Amino acid sequence: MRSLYLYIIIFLLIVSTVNPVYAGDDGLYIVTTFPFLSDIASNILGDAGRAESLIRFDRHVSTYELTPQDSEKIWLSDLFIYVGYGSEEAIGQYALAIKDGRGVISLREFLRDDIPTIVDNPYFWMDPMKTVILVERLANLFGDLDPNNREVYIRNAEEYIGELRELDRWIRDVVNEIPEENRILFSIRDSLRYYAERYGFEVVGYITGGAGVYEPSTTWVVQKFEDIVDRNVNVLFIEYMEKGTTLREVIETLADEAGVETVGFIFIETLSYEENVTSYIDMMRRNTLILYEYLNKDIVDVGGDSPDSPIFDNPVLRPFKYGFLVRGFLTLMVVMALTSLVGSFAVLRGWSIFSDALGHGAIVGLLMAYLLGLDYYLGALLIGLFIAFSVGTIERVTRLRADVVIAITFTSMLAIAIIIISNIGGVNISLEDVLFADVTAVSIEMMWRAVGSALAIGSFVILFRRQLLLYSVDPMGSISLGIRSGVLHFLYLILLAVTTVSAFMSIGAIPAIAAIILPPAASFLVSRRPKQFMVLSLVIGIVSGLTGFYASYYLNVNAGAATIMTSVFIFLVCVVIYIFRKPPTPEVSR
Amino acid sequence: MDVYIRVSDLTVSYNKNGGPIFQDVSLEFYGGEIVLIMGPNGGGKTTLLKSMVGLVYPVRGHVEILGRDPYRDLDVRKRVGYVPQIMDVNIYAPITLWDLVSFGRYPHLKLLDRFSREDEEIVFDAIKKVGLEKYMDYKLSELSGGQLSRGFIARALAQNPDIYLLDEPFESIDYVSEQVILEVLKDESSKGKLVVITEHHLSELEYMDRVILFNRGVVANGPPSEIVNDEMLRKAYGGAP
Repeated sequence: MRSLYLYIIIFLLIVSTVNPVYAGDDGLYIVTTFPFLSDIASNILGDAGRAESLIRFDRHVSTYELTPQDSEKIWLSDLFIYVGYGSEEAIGQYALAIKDGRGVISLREFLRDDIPTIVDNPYFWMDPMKTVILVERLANLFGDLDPNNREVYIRNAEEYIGELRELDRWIRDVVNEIPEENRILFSIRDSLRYYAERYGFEVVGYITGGAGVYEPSTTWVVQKFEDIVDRNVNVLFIEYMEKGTTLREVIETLADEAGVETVGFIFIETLSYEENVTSYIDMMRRNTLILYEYLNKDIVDVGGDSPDSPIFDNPVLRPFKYGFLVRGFLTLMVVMALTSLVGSFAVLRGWSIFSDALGHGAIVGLLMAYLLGLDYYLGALLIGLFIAFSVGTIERVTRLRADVVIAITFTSMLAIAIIIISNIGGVNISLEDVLFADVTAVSIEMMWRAVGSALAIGSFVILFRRQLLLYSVDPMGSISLGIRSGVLHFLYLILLAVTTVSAFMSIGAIPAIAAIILPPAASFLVSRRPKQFMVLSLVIGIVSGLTGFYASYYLNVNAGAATIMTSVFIFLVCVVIYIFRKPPTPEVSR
Repeated sequence: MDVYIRVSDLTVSYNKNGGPIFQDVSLEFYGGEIVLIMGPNGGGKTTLLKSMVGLVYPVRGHVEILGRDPYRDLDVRKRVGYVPQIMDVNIYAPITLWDLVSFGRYPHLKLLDRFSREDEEIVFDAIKKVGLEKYMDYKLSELSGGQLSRGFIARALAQNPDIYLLDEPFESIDYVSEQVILEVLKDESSKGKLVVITEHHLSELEYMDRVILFNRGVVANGPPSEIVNDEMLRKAYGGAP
């Protein structure tokens, strides 16, 4: 027993020497979420303390995953600062949990009395004079936490405020050179509101409503498009770190449709070594220069070829007014038809979770492709085929049940995806974006790929329908009937992989998985014959897509989510029919 | 009589390092006979049957079906109606008895062929032969165990094979179904087809032309009257039968 205590004491001693302690004698240790916040804090601390951010340079907030090292930093910090919106708020919640609520401030709360609008729009730092308020408040707070250095913090803050005032004057001078009629902004989120108010711009629109929330719906995208055309917007501004996201795809699609050539990359939450934007002041200067570069030009008439035919007043036809919506609609229909057809074999064979593994695995493929500079579709497809072969092989070699092998595969794929996203630089794809892509942001190329895959897979399925059916319901029987089951096994897995990836790339991973499983599952419950089963599955898939598309347009919701919900509704109806169905009585009916 | 299946010096083991399930088995099966392979559980009957249709790879020796090698020539499998012991079938699938039996026609259809009237007649006849014409539109999950077994026999009939291999077809089915199946098989053998059945207990011997007692090898092989006696059965089962 005594030796146990001894070990514990020795262990604690070792731990205490290993852990660097910044608090106390060395001055304050401040940890923040965004890099620009730690830059502001550093300017106040000077040599009397240290500040660092959890989100690294050149990284987007949505790719952040908490690590034990970061938890330790949060725990050791004298003060943890976060803004408190979107996915950044989650990091604040971690900090509150780790520090048991003490020494954590949310700027949205902290600055509520000074900047009342912060409740609706958190991007106060886009106005340097609002940042001045933050600096004053923080200097006082730091002084309370570390009274010995209070004088130092106040003095540093005054010096920094001087720099901020100079920045403000400089921005004013630059903006003054932009013609007044050109001073309109259309950006990602409502992030430029404070900047616009301070320097006399008008914000005519922004992509996505709530800060950090990304749920574009079809109507919403259409409204934005009409705003762009009405206000003759020539340039769309987007956060530099959102280069690789679906949100950018939405913006690019809108830009293409309206004939707006340029997308200007600005810095809102991120700092970047690559772009040499390493401080808050750098960030504000760079943004101003970008705005100047893009807006100090002659305005070109935009509008593309927006048809104003009266047939689009018809509510049924209204969603097809614009090319990108017609593309989205076609892609959704083709993908739903494909998934419900191919998925029906998966449901018969008990392999529906396989599409889950493929859907998640394709995310890894996407990331790999991004890192290696390959085509996204190709990357997702290669990983899909890799999963297909490894699941098929492991299942055959080990005789483990397919569901076990599949669960192992998809969880490991998701884990790899998270490790890649949070640790390898340069990847700025948010998992949420990938999980629920937006069908209204389908490029022409993606549409043709979906159509091509559907034609290829559809003809294969029709040609080999009997073999696939027999193999799906009775694998042993198909072998003894002389079907080359080994070949068919892998062919089917490839088919499922291509289908999942096609759906994944156009409607997002979660809707893709749902589209493969739900329509056949609903049909399975109420069908008695194979042909009836497949046709009904196809019909349910297409009806779901159609309803999802219109619901997205008229109810202002995400198309993928609306499609899933329609399928779920049909599925529940089928469950009720299944429960109340009548058992058959013997009779000669043929 | 023509040799339909020839098994020569066949040795089978389930994995590379494990011992053999049986060794150096040589047997011949002729057209027009009904053969019962009988022996205790674990004696290798099912494995022998599977290797005869090319589903289990032998360590040594070879199998010939109608003079062809079923491991190389998958087409010859179409001439074998194999009814496995464990039905690895999803009986809750949207499949009716009619659909199950029509699967028997699949080996005869080319990729673009449609299911012809003739195919439909063959399927209907097969269902009628096993006495299930009233149940054609039943889903598999709505049939009893015995009816399902008859359904699989009907599928083999619809396949119109030269050889029937049935793995313990009478396991846990009702007496009526057993009689129906035996009559159908007797009829097929009278048309010159080979029927091989495995069982681990004594079955309707009056239907059998030949009995093979099998326990990790051939214990005895001959007409039922010569083979089925206490001494032989004790030898095969290692105790009282």
